[in-house]
Amino acid sequence: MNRRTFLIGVAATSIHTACARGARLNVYNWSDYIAPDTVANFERESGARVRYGTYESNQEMLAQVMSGNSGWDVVFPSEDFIGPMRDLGLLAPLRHEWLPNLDALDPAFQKPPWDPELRWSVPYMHGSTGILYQKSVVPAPSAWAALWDQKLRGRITMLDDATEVFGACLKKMGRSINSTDAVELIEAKRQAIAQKPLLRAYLNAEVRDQVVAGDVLAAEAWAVTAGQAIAAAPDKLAFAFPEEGYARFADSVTILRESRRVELAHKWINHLLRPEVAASIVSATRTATANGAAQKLLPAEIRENSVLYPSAATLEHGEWFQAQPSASQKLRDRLWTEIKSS
Amino acid sequence: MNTGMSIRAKDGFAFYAAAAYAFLYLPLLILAVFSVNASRFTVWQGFSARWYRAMLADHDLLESTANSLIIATASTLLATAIGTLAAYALWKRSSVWLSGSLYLSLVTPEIVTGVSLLAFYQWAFRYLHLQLGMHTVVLAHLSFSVAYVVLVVLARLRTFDPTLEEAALDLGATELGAFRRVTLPYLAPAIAAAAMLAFTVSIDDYVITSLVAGVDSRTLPMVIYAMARRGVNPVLNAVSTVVVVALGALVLISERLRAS
Repeated sequence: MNRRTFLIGVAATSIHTACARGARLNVYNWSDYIAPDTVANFERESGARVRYGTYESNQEMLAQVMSGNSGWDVVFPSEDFIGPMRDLGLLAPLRHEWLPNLDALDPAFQKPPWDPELRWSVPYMHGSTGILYQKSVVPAPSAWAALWDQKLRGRITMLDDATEVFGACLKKMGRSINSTDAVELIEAKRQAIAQKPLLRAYLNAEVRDQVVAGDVLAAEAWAVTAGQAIAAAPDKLAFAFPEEGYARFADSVTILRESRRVELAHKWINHLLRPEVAASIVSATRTATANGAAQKLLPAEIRENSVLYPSAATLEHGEWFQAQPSASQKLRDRLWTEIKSS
Repeated sequence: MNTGMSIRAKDGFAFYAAAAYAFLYLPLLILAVFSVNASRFTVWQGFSARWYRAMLADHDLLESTANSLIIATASTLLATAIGTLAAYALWKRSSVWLSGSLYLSLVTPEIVTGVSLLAFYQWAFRYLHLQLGMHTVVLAHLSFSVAYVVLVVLARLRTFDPTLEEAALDLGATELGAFRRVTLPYLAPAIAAAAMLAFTVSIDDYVITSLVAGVDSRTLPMVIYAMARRGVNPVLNAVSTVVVVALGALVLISERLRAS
């Protein structure tokens, strides 16, 4: 071996050891779902480095995770994605002995219908889908039918999410958001296509700035987005839980089966379950947490915010999303393509 | 002097040219103007460099810029080497099939290339126990950069007199020596121009990169797109202005070299 080869070998091994030192955790979460110091605090306490990536929709997350070799350790799917992800073998079972803070969860979320034993997921944040609107709109929207109002033509947006749009249309028709009936779904598609000429765009959380700026008068929005928008312009905006009923969602934290740092991932989940950590996240992001102990630590103006924490009577009208059987999922996908391309 | 155009036609031509340039550059100009705007919204409220300061403080942005530069440098070096040799070979013995298949990678929609590369990588990684990362992005960028390099270098080679190389061989040079001492210096401007083109194209790429990038290898276009999806943010204006100015300078230099 000559001197050149030796020097290159030394350089290579030193670079390799520098990269291999220190544990790493790759967390993939929704955007605007964490406080600015949460990751830094966890890094300091656990000594690991965290790579924190964000996404805007479940589908975007699933597209990356589905290969089973995406590099992510922890993801935050919504409740209707947990079943399919579990069936696809993408999730790792949780070990409760590594999650001592689990009893900080709100009693309503300790046995959720999509994962009663919390074997695969731990509820993180929850919310509803309703109508975010300008107070200048008269009469104030109180039902889904208001988003089909000709007077608001060109200033309405819907969520860019097939399940949410179908949910709104089905509720407008008086049906369940989880309907698998082909006749109902085709009628819902007809409603959505009838609404398309009135729409400005299909937008998710990015509609917030447009509503605050006044470009959009009424939007189908998640309560989280609405809460953030109303905080930015409290005297101009309001949120309505439609009287025909509405969808509820909960985002849970899960560990991917491909992860090789399962114990560190559990430490992360346990960290998030700490009441003061969950409370600081809620204060920063204005979301509704599933952590009951944290709710007591919240400032009154968030705890009593009816958009984020509606009354039990309002919650009665809400319906959780359920994963669709494959036949109706295929039909929904096909109808969604027809809606988007019409 | 009679140029064959009436005065009216010349005015019309000037107006048309001005309109075309305005259509191309007005959006970029507005972007740049609002990048020095003190206010967060598109309402002018005085000069301020705060968005450039915010851009420099954004760790994500800086890391992705570093990633973009590393990937672009690696793929440019490889693509220039491979592409120059490929162009030389195609010049010596032209083959419609070979050059056609090379240009195919330029014509294929990026999403198709991206998805096929992703499927290939995931299949290969089952046996190689690897993950997506910088290496996969560099390889993906190679797949279209090589075609660009071949295009540019082949064009220059077609103006090269083959007898010069033969004369060098007659005078006792080896084939490698003749290539190194005669052909390569002649090609140097084209190779430099091709390298700059490959660099620009690699920094620029979004669709293919977003599909094959791993957890740690996010590039600048990916971060810009993620920021844009979350709403109006003048930091985007600042980043875009810097990118446009830098890439514009690169393209100008590339064109000057190609024409020389």
